[in-house]
Amino acid sequence: MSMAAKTEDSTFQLMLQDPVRRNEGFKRLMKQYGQMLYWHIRRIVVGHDDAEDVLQETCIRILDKIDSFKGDGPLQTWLYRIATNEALQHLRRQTRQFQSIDSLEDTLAAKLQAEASLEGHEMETVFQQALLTLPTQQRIAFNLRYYDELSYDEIARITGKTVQSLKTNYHYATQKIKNHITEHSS
Amino acid sequence: MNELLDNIGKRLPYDESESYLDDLIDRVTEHAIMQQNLAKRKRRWSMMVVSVAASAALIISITLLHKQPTSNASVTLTGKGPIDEFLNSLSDEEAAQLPYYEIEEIPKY
Repeated sequence: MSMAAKTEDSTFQLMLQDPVRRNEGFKRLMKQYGQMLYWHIRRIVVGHDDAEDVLQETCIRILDKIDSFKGDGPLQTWLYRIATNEALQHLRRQTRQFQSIDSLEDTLAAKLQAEASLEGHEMETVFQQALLTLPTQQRIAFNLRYYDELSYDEIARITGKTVQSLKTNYHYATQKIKNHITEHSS
Repeated sequence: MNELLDNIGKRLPYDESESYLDDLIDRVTEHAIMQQNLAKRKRRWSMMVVSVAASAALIISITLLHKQPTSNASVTLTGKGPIDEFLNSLSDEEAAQLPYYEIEEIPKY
């Protein structure tokens, strides 16, 4: 974590923990990280309306839990963790009793099909379809590495997995995606 | 694989524009702040209700404790106390035999 990022984090922390400046601090935080959180959530829940709901829940949770942020790690990682947990909870609510969230692949694929703009985005859609064939936790880890370019250490902090298992999973994920794209691209 | 990913890049097949997302984020942020304020007000209200209820319970229990002797007196006045019952059960003769004291006659200790 760079010195500048540390300073910025502690500025946010100071503002958010001060009852007078909390709202202003929160608005600034969302200006900076809002889109990042939206796209992270969207890649997990796929649908735009779902992503909006989850982002809303995430914001409320951030405001509610901000006092528990001690600044031991980067603020960004903490935000990703909250957003990931809220997105996973949202997926869990869509499952039936004893059903795993990994079984939502078809539901999510249907959402992707409905919301993806096909014009000029065929490859991106096939790529997203390939991602949906991965187990949810593996998909989240892949997204954080590929799209958000986080280090394995940061992903480990967000997902609670070990760096070694993340590296192995990333390798398997890329292989699976490659196979899917080869099979489905014309 | 790398070549394949390079071709796709980090693009997503969605159309949401930057300005649309900025608006969405502003809306979501405002809503979250409003929710937080509402929750705070709710918490404050519940604290107030609990304090008022606790104070009322305290006042009622103190009042009841203070009323205890008065209620005994009212029992005596209505003539339903154990001594009254005993006196009522006596015949006129038995009652006449009861020693009768004037206040002044009660010896002082």
